[in-house]
Amino acid sequence: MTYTQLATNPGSNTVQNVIDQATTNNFGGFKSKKTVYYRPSCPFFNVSNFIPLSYCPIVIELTLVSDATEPLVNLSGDFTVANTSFLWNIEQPIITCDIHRLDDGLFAEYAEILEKQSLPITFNSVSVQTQTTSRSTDIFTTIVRNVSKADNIFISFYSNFGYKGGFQEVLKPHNLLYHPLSWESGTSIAQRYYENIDLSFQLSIGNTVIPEMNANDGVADSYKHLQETRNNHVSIKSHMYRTNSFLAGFNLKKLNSANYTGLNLKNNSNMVVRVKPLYGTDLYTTDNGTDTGLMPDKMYIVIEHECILEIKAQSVIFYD
Amino acid sequence: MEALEITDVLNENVLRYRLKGGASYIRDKRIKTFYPSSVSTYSSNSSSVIRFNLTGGANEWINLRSLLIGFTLINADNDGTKELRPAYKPSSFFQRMRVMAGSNVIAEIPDLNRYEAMMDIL
Repeated sequence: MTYTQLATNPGSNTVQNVIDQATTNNFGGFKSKKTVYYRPSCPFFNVSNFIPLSYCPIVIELTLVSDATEPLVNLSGDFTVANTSFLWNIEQPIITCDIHRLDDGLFAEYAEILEKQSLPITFNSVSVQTQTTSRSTDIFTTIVRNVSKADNIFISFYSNFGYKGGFQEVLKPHNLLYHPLSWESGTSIAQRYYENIDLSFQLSIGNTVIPEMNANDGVADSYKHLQETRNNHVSIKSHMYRTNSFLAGFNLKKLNSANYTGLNLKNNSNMVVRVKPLYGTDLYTTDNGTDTGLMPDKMYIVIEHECILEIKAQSVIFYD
Repeated sequence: MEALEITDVLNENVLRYRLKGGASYIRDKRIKTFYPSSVSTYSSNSSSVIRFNLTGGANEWINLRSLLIGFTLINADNDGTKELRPAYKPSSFFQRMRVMAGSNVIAEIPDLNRYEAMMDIL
């Protein structure tokens, strides 16, 4: 269990010894150095086919954050300038990966295939779009990326008003997934549901509208659509989902189990994302303490789309 | 009712009893480490782009599902009392990723740290 799962409503957890706030004890760092590893989420690294490196070399470029404080805890509460460092650098970055060698005879056959034909590899790639939004109006955004097989679209929000519970030191702009319902949660440990600050989503792609009926289920409807993007394998807790871990997802595939059934965004006209209050105008008019409105400040859109990499002896061709 | 052919039944997954195939065509596997193509120390205000070239000899096939990115995080304000405290996962130290295959850009992810946090939920 991560802190984001616990941060939502510590009062509702009945398990003893759960972490209910970030402190120097449970978010201890290190004084000298620490080696870390992680597996990147980029879907290209989930491709099931092996790739012959001599024919298809791969380059991976990573850029460090421009704001050096973004990956670190905020100065607040137990975290002070006396016990927290804000200077860091990275040494000896590496990538490790399994490399296989085939039977020589089989490899010779593949080499022959590559001379005359090609090895097609199907994989998913992503496009990311960021949009600054207004706290007191609907969101009406056009997605500009043209891909031939869009499988899923994911949308998340950020707002400075997102509920952080006892974890305001560690919930940052990059890992707080805001939903306006967390505003109500922030004022009540009981986390009651208030439909007037819930959101409704609609995607329009040419003549296609998703969802077809303008559903009035708000966050529950968003959860249902998110499940469809991962074959009902999303296991996020409901109280987390509607506060600081909200992610909207829409499945655009005609058949989940088959390839090349995503929606063609090249032939269709623009894709438009519309986000508005489920009921009423409270999301535009509520006093948030600074100004009015509880709509998000920023929207992140991720399009997962299917691609083909065609490997030949003399070239690599990419189709999206 | 028309009689069922045994081949129809064997095509049903629930009644298919077969041992999984081997992989005698794989000669060996090794875990290879790739290093950046330039310096070995990076920070957000200088040398902020880390570039890895994943190349190999003939008959070297990469299994991308096993790929891991690793690095050593250095506390540059180490006076014996101050601790460096990451707020989230190692991926939050990166804001952008670009992946190329051959000479094609096949994935470019701005706001990488945000993207990783979104995918953590799934």
